[in-house]
Amino acid sequence: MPYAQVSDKVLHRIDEYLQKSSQYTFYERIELLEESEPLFRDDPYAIRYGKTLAYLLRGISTPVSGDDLLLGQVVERIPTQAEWTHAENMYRSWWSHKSDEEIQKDILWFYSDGWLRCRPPWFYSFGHLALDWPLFIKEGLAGFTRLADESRARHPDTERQQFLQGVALCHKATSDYFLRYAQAAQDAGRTQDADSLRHLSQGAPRSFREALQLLWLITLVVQKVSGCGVLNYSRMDQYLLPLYRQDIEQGTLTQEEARALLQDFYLKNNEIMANTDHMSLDTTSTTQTLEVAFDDPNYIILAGLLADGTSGVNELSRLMVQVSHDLKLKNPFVIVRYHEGIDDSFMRAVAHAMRDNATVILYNDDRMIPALRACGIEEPELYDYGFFGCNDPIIPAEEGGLRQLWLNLVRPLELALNQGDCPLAPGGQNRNPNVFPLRDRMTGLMTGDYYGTSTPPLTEMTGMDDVLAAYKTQINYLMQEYRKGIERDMRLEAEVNAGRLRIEDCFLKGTLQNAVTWNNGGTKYHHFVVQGTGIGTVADALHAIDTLVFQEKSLTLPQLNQILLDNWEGQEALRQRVRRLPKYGNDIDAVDKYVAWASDAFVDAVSAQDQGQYLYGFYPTLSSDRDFTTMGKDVGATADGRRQRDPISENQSPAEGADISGITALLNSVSKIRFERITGGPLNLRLHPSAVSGEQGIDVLTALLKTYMQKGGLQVQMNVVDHQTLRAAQKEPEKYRNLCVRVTGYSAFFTQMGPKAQEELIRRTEQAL
Amino acid sequence: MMTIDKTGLPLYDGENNDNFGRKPHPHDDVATHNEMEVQPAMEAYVFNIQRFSTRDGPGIRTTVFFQGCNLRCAWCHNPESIPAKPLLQFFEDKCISCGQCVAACANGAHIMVDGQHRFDESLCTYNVACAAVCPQDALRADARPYTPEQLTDLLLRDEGYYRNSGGGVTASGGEPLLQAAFVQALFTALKQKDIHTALDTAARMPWHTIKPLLPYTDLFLVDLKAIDPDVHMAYTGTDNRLILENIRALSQAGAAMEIRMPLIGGVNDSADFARRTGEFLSGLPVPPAVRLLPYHNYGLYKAQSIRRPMEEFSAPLHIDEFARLLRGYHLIVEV
Repeated sequence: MPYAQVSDKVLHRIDEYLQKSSQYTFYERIELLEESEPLFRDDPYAIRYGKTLAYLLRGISTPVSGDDLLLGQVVERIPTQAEWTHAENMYRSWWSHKSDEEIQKDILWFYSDGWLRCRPPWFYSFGHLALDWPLFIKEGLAGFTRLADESRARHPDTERQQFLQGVALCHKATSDYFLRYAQAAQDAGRTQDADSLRHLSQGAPRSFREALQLLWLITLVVQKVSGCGVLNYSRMDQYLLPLYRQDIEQGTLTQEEARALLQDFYLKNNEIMANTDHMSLDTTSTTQTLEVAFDDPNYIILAGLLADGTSGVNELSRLMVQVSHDLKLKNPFVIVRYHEGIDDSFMRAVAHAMRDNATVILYNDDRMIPALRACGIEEPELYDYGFFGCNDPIIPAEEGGLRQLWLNLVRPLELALNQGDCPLAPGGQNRNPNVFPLRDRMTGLMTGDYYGTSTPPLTEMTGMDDVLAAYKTQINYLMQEYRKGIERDMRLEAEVNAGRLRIEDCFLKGTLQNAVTWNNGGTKYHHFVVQGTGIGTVADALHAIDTLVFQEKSLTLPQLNQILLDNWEGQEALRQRVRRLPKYGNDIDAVDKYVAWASDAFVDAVSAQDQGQYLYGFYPTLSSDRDFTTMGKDVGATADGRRQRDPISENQSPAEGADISGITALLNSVSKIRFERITGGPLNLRLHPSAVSGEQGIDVLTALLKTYMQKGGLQVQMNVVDHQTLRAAQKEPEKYRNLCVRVTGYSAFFTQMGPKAQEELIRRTEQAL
Repeated sequence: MMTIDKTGLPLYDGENNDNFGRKPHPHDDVATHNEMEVQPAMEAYVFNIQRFSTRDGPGIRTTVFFQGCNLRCAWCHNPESIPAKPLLQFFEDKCISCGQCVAACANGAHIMVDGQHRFDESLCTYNVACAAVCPQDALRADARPYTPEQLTDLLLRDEGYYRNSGGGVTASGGEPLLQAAFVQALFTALKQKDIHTALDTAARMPWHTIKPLLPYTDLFLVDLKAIDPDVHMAYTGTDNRLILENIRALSQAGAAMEIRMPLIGGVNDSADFARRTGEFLSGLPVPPAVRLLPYHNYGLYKAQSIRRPMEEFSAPLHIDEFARLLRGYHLIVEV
């Protein structure tokens, strides 16, 4: 695959990266962490945290490579077998002997064992947030120190004093790290860089180049050293613009120099990621890595509306899309915010980058802004919304890291058809009263058996309205039980988590002013992302019930449900007929009305549990990430012809292979969802290259994207690659190392993905012309 | 020269009906293929509706493929479109002889012989019940009758995409002009909504059939299979004089036109043909743009599915040379 406008040096760097073993490890950090473990045990948590960070930042090397424009690397090497075993044993000593209840007291919410693995209980962060980047640009590190200093006088209580002491240690450690790097630059003869780094140890960046230098070293401190990855850099094209314009006007920077600097910044973001795909749990490079934040993508938000209602598209937005297009790397993940009236030539450049498989995706302000407003987000920060991780919304610097729940939308349907009983594990009267068990709340996944509340027997349901009413009752019940569970967790968190500083607390809004961690209320906003999963399966199943039972009347509802309980056993002819009924994804109103209905029922249930005095609100999204296979495993057969335990539909998409009427039909179907109530979630498109080839293809794609946004679509991400290429890449991975694909909310190099993820991608409907 | 029917389908000669060896069926509408009397009953079989079509005219389009054709191109890439009434497609390689179609067919067209599924076309009435139950998609019956109103409603669902891309609707086939009145009704409705219309036709129809469409058709995509009358006759079963006359008439009428030429290795791709084509097209009042379409063999599999196996041809060897020669006549040529 050709690269546009990229120097041989950069090409060489990309090749080197693609050939790097995933076993490369920032082993210095592991050694220093081990050394530091006994040193500060007697200190209060926040102070121990600060001292640990200082110990790490004092001990790690500060390599200066001759070629890089920006400075800042860590030393990586492949550990010996003995070192590997040693580190793994250390990791195991942190968590493996603990029960879920004990883990909860240490950490509360952790997503998965993989997240815990490399993080010790006294020094962890899970990232997934945006720091106050504009303050870094405006005032530099000193800005944060100032806020902490001001706060100290206001908060005399011991707990907050300790928190602020910890913060001060972290600020100082970071500042000292800049000074150490300045010395290293001086030693390497890079005097100007040394001067910049000395200045940046306190002060605000004076140039575009210094701004990127500051952002990058901060990234190393928070992500590589502290494990706070999946950063949202937020609106770089806005907060860097004044320095960019200043330098261009003063003649100290050309556009080509800026492009080279941005290329270096993007490349560095890519190079700190291990050569693996973090969601492919069937690859050993994922499960065995010793690295913290080893594969955490970072997110850049471009364009979009400004708080005054004007367009944020500027020359830097264009340049940053161009650099993504130049490099076609998996990181950083660039999100362009569309709005009605966005500049046409900019949209064409975005479509061009997307057509050429750059890691650029599109979100719609005209849907996101009302949806976030409904979640209580206020102006002006509403206009600065962005994303981190897999399509999770965030107001930059105003809220902390990821907390989420995948709400399996197929579950309420099977509960509605069984009076609240679980079809795969009928419990009758002895149902498990603990609807959302602890582990499911901690990891945010609904796994195992779920039981609902009592709804009418099927013999009493005389029309679709009765089925839908029962669905609503069940989904409301599930969300209500979830709220009960997390409120118990929140009480525990307030008790045990107070003063548990994390690196991001040092660089957010509100945490310093209030001297409170974000998770205990320091920031303005707090949210769980509630990800509705399997909406396509629900829509198709509801439509099939409507058709068979209430339109054709060929079966009664109890008869149909018995067929589902029997997993379509002996009913293959009927199953085939049902599979050929109209499906969501083909622009057929009779079935699409159910996707809109189910989405509303989901948002209603979520927002019903978001009224009242809760610290944490909810962001409803339609997003499964890659967990639609896992989430299908506990679900019985469904009326759309799906067998029990088969995968449910992914993200916003129709069920696998259901969309057969062309891409405009698919987009028309999806746009019937009332996205002005949905705050995120991906629509994965795979286009055949012939459909959008040449200059005309870019025009066509631009029009396609624009029309979909105007019709009310929320998000688009795409891969323009044909089936044959993906198969060829499986056969000869060495020839396709640079084939970068959008997976859900992140990108991966295809050949680094596990076999399961590769198959999932290949099976996505290929939209040809 | 003798008519050689390479497709195995009897050629429409303007008078006979074409039931293709099937028993006549009450729904067979023999008038559908009568060029002289375009039937007024406003329903037409459409065998495919392709949304997000980007190669049949400008922008994002929906291409409507009408059933029925009055040419018999030996290399046809949509052989299932040739008969006036659709034939059930049976992809034998996908069949697992599960027998579900046997139960679904009221006419006994599907039977099991020694555990193997057999299909008897002569009993098939194309009532599509079998295709609905086939678990393998080995049986397909995609063609459906539409009224212009039904079709317009469906096409307008993508109106926003047409407008933003400068696209619209293309009528293709088969030969859409076999249902000229239907196309006219459809295009009239689309033009009322200011939607761009294109007509993909082989133009082997009397001028009085084409002429009424002029006010409603923004672009004519006219297929020219071969400039040489003998070759045209040999490989399409038809004479090309009417086609060439119509191209001239369209040009004279000032219609926007693109000529589309399938290039088949060793059949119609010679330098001599390129020159003669160039002379003809450049001599028109308004020389049209030309698009060259290299042969591909996608039609073979589909031809087999309707039990009319076709000969495989080869791709043209010198398509760039062909294009170069045409450009020598100051024609705009795309490959």
